[in-house]
Amino acid sequence: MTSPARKISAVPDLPSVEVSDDVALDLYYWMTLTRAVEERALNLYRQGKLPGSYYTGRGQEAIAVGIALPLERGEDGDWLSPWIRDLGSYLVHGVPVWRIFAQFMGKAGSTTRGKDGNLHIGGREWNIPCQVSHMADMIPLTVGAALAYKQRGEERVALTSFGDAATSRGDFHEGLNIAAVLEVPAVFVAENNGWGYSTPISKQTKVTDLHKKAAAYGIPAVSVDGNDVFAVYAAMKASVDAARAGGGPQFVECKTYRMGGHAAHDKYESYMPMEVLAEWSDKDPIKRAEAILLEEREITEARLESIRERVRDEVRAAVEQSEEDGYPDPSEAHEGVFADSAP
Amino acid sequence: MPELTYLEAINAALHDEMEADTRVFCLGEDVGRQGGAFGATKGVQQKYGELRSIDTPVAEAGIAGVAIGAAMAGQRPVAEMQFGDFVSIAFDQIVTCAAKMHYRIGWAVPMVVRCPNGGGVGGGPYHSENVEAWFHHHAGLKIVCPATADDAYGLLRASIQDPNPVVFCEHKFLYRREKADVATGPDGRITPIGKARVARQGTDLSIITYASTVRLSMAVADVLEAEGTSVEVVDLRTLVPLDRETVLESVRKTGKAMIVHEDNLTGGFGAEVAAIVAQEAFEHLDAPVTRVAAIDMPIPFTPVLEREYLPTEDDILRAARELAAY
Repeated sequence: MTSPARKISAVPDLPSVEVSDDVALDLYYWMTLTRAVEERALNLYRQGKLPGSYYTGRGQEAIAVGIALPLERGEDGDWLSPWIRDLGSYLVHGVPVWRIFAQFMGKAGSTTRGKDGNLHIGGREWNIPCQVSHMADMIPLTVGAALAYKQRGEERVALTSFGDAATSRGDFHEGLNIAAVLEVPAVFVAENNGWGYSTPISKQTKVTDLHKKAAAYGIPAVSVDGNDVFAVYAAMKASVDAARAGGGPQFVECKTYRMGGHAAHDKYESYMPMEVLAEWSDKDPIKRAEAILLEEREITEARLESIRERVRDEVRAAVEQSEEDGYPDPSEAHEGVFADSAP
Repeated sequence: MPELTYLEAINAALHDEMEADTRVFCLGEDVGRQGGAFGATKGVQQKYGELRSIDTPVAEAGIAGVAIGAAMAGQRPVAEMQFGDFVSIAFDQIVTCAAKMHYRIGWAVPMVVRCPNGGGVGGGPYHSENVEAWFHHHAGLKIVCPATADDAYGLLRASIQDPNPVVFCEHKFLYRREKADVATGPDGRITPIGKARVARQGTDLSIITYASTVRLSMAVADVLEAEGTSVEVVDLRTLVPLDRETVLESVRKTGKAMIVHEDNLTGGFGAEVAAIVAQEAFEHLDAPVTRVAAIDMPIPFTPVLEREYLPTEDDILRAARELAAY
């Protein structure tokens, strides 16, 4: 079945992408897993089991999952640098669930061995660089990885996602401009969730349709409904394919809404309009995917329930494993400032 | 062995590393067709093509970030800041991404950021800065400051081969003034990072210095020799990692330490060396640790003003005489 074209708003023609039932169920599984991991982690945070704060991407699972699934996984696969709302991207790109809980807990099994926290997840084995807190910094890095693939003639792409507020930073502009001039296989995903911490997008930029910014650099761009996982996947698949085929950098804007605060400690009720939040609650990407799977694709409820069951088991096992995991030895704090070798 | 200037030595090191390793490439403003504002990358694009010698937009943060990403993806980028001063724009990328990536996930970032450094060339406040002290406070970066043509060659090759991000401070004043017979080519000189050089042996006092002030210190040592004072000159070569042993060994021998650099005094690298000497060689010291450095102010343009800023041979000589007489 072809993803409904109406889901892709604005912009040039994208080749239509078939989303098979298998892929559709995959997308559903990863979104469900993402939400389950986040809900469990939020509980652990409230129980005081996670140091620092806790950041969720609730309501943005369709983007996190839809942007990652079209990519090749593994060390020799595609580069993926997700931002703070995209836990699902890490899962899809291969990071085991228990290591994500270990990361939140600062345990030895954390992908950073406790040296960094929250969604600063990464590792060469998944070709995921470790994001930094500074907005938009990962954009030039992603362009650099794409350049490396182009220099070596490899059919690989480099993808990064970021929020609307990141488009205010210089590295966004420098990164996009260089990517365009060098014609590298980079894919940029702007997640327009309307908020940068407590600042609404209207105070962030006059160009609130973020895909229009890409035009300033001569980069083809599309805008999609970020709460429709099938639309996101279809747009991403087309964009990733175009970049891989030598079409140069691509830009995808995913429109969505941040369904809560910047982080768990944020008292967002003081600045977010509750009626808008309620409106977007009705557009929940997982509920919408379920409706399409059941009604348009005639998947049975029993099949969806078996996926939800699998997710519950996986999350339970992952939390157990991370809770049993130890902390890094204090001596490890002193290790790794410099590398002894580079492959 | 060909006689090369410091600048030709940098150019030769780039050519030789690019020949030896197809992962090495240059990027920066005007580095390609033009061969760089100073000619450091001359002939590279003609020989290795546009994908390995990339003319970038004017975007220093972007250049540094692209280099980091390419390094992580397996290449060996050598990024040029047209003037070291402009690395201020790339500072965030270098300290935020390059310096901490390996510590956080064990993923090495083998890259070099070349910073044409320093004054004495009539560059004014924005083309004369010494940038090494901007970086040495920050863990995870190596900092290399060659003083001679053969070290410019040998240290650049070592920096490109190093698995870490290296801030390579090449001094513009030395570009055409320093010359040496340099062993180049496949078996060319590699100067190990982290090893200081005793540029001149002496017994009465130690001058610890690097980059442009090495030659000034050597000239001062000649003058003092004639006056009966034997000066040892230690050329640090690299600030991070610092060869503490060579510094301390020299000071323990002479009992007097003077640190000289062209960069501003306050918070300069000399303060760190002074602290190390004071703590580790206190019982060997016969006099207070002395520093000679630029005055804490922006670097003025016109030569009569710039001379007020820069530490001169006379400044070093005067301070060395006082220290010798202490």
